[in-house]
Amino acid sequence: MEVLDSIPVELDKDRVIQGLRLGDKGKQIENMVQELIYVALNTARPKAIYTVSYVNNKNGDSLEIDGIKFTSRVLRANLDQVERVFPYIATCGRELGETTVPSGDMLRAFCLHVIKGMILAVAIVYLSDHIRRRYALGHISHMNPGSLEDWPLAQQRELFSIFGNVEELIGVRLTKDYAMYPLQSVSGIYFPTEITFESCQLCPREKCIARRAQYDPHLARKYLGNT
Amino acid sequence: MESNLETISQAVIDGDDKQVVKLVKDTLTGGISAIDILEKGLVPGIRALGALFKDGEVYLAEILISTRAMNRGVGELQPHLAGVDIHRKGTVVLGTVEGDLHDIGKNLVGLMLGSNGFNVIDLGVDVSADSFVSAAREHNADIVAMSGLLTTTITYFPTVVKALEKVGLRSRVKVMIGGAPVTRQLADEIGAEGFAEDCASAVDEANRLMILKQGGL
Repeated sequence: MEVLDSIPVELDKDRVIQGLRLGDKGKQIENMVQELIYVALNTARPKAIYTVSYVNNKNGDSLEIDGIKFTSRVLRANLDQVERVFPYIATCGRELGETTVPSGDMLRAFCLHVIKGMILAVAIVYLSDHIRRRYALGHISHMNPGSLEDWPLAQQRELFSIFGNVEELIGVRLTKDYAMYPLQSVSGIYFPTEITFESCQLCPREKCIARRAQYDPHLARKYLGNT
Repeated sequence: MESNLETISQAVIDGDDKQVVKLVKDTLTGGISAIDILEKGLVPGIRALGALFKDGEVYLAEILISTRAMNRGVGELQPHLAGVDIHRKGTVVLGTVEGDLHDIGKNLVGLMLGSNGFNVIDLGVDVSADSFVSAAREHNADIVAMSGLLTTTITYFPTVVKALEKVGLRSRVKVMIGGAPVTRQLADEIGAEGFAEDCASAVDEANRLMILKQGGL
């Protein structure tokens, strides 16, 4: 198990404005964004934890990772030829996660929310690059419990159990309803693969702000059958 | 002066709070009533913005900038609105359900409903069924609007619906739900009359529910 807690963070004002889809809204808005970036850069301590785990007992729609059972037809299919995987949890960090703005200022709150998400993205990229380099992997992909109905959010409980006391290790708490706190945290499994896989390809939901790939009904049928 | 009202609407759409304030002041000075400036200048602006959002021409941050501009305009009107009976379409009790801490979407819905003539009672996040029921009773709610962003927390929606039934409030309120994993199908399954997939359609849906309510349906 390895904890990454010295993740370098850079935030470019223009990228943040682009992420907010603000366009040109004048100096006042630009200054507000710049101020929030300053706060974020001086506060954020994004972190990630991962471990090297082994897959066995592949059976039907289930498999075990380090002896812990996961049930997901899609995960099972993706790991069919895979023996070694990298479970992980990444976070923007409690320090930034607990940073708030004056109550009632929704614009500022929304901008900070987006910035926290961007810092989580920095942590995720750092983590995936680290895993790829450290283990000399080619292409890797990932899956996250809850991103598909096939792999329910509640399986975060099993994923967290691989690491032990995650709150102590990187400050991420899993609530009884399987929400992670700080909210800008993510859990999942990286795995080596020759194909480009994104769970979004199997998700028919329209108008999703977090969509990373186009829905592919043919691929969805291939993985999930005619459900 | 009528064209001033249109210019006020445009300034709201543009999110130009300084211009909104200036125009509101000028229009008041020009003799247009505060209620007309509100209902024919500011509110149409935010309504038009909602349509642009649904068409994908503006995004969330712009909604927030424009509602801020509108609120600055409303701030200028406040002293002139004292004692004026502002027609409220209805009262909405709004919250993110128990176990869920997500609030951005809920806040945007509250903002848009409030800007479009609803009285919004925002209960915050992690709201229990009992809290929804108490607030609905206390504020004589027309609509109970619930947000949930996790597949594990939207399971509390039926709990709130049952709690409203248990105290005899269910027939007096309409229930509306929303959030990332929420669908119209789920709304139908749990007996919620309304479903909204974003803050702009939440306004349309709330308007529709008020028509249903007023028609005794």
